[in-house]
Amino acid sequence: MVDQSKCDIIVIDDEEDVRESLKQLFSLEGFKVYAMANAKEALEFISTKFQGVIISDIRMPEMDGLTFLKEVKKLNKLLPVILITGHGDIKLAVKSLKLGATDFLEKPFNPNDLVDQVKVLSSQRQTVIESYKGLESSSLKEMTDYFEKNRICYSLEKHKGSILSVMKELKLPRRTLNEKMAKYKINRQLFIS
Amino acid sequence: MDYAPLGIVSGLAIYLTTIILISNNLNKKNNIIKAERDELILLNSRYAAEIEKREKTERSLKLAEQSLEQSSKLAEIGQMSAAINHEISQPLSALKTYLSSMKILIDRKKILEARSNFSRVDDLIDRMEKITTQLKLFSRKSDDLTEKINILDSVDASLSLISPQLIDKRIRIKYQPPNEKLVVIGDQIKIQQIIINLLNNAVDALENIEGAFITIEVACKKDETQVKISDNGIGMDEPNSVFDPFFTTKAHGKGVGLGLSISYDLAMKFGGNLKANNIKPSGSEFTLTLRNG
Repeated sequence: MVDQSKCDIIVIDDEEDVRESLKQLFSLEGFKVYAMANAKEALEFISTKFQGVIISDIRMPEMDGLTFLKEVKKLNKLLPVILITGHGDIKLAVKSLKLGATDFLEKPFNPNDLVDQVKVLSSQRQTVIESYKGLESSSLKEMTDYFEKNRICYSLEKHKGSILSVMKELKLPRRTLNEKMAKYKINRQLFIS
Repeated sequence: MDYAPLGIVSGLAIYLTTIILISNNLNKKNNIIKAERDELILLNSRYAAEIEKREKTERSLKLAEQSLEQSSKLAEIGQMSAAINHEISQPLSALKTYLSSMKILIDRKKILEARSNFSRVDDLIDRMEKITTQLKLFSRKSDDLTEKINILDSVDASLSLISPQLIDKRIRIKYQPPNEKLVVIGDQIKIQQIIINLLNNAVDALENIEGAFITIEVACKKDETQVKISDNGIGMDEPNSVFDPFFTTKAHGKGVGLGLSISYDLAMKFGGNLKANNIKPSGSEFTLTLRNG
């Protein structure tokens, strides 16, 4: 049974045994799993609209895991990618993490640890997806107002409530700034420490 | 005058003198013979000691040679260890994952599905067993026996041990085994040692080569069989020196330069031969020749 509160998972490994065993385990844990033998194929799949968690082997024919990771990050910086490898060395691990991998696991890894980690990542992904959904239903006007309000608050906080400094930083005349603060109901006193 | 007694006396005297002289002479000769015999005994015991010493040296030389062969064999395994580790870690990962799934399935009382995982686990254990059996066979000390063996079995066993490295480094193998078995004189493990050594060298020579491949040809020629192993690497600067002990072009820590020298000695021991040459357009070729059994 696929659990709707969980995000989708892609498992990429040219080793059939590893791929199929992970597919079975994650399916039992309630995830919808897409198992693929080839990183290129997975990349095409991701580029459409994938928003879940990716587990990928490193040494694979055609496209290796590190190249794949770079390509995924180009498509969407926020997608979590866990790399698994039978050739664990520190150099490779450091390189993977620098390229933006969420984690680097050496085979034979503990599958329960992997499941726990994916569960955490999945709930994080769900929060992101929910917030996207929230934005999707807002109008452009609401989104810009929200951004403007936050920007002024941030500047007031940074300059400890100094109107002169905020005017300078945001390049706004005093009158416009006062109008905006009134509109968004921002109380300057809260920022004076 | 009666001269007769005088004559007898003098005759007797001469006779006695002669006897004394002869006996003296004999004594002297006896002494010389005794001295010579003593000297011979001494020499003999010295020779015996010398022979024993030589035999002892020969025995320890043979032991050293055997342990060198064994070390070189283990070094070959060392060279393959990363790839072998990779090869074992794959089924091991799958095994652990299937076991985790089995726990869930049993908790959910899905016994049939759990059962099918048992057979998957069995298959994975078989896969790992094959690797360890090959390794165990290869690393055991072999006796100095020359027997009739099928060379194609040695090639197959060597290929299965080296294949993780080949997959890992994306090296293709071109090998068309002959249909009939080819029987040669040698020792199964030692011939495998030679072939693995040649294959390992080829793998090293193909580092960073695009479209790398190794060709293996096995052919029977009159009363001998040849195994040719060639690569499309950069070839050798000094094909004539590669069999010299301690000759190596490998980076420090990657080889001491004994593999080929030991392989050459082994081939000679079986009444065969091992030759190296460069091939065109580029690459090295090693030809192992063995007597037909």
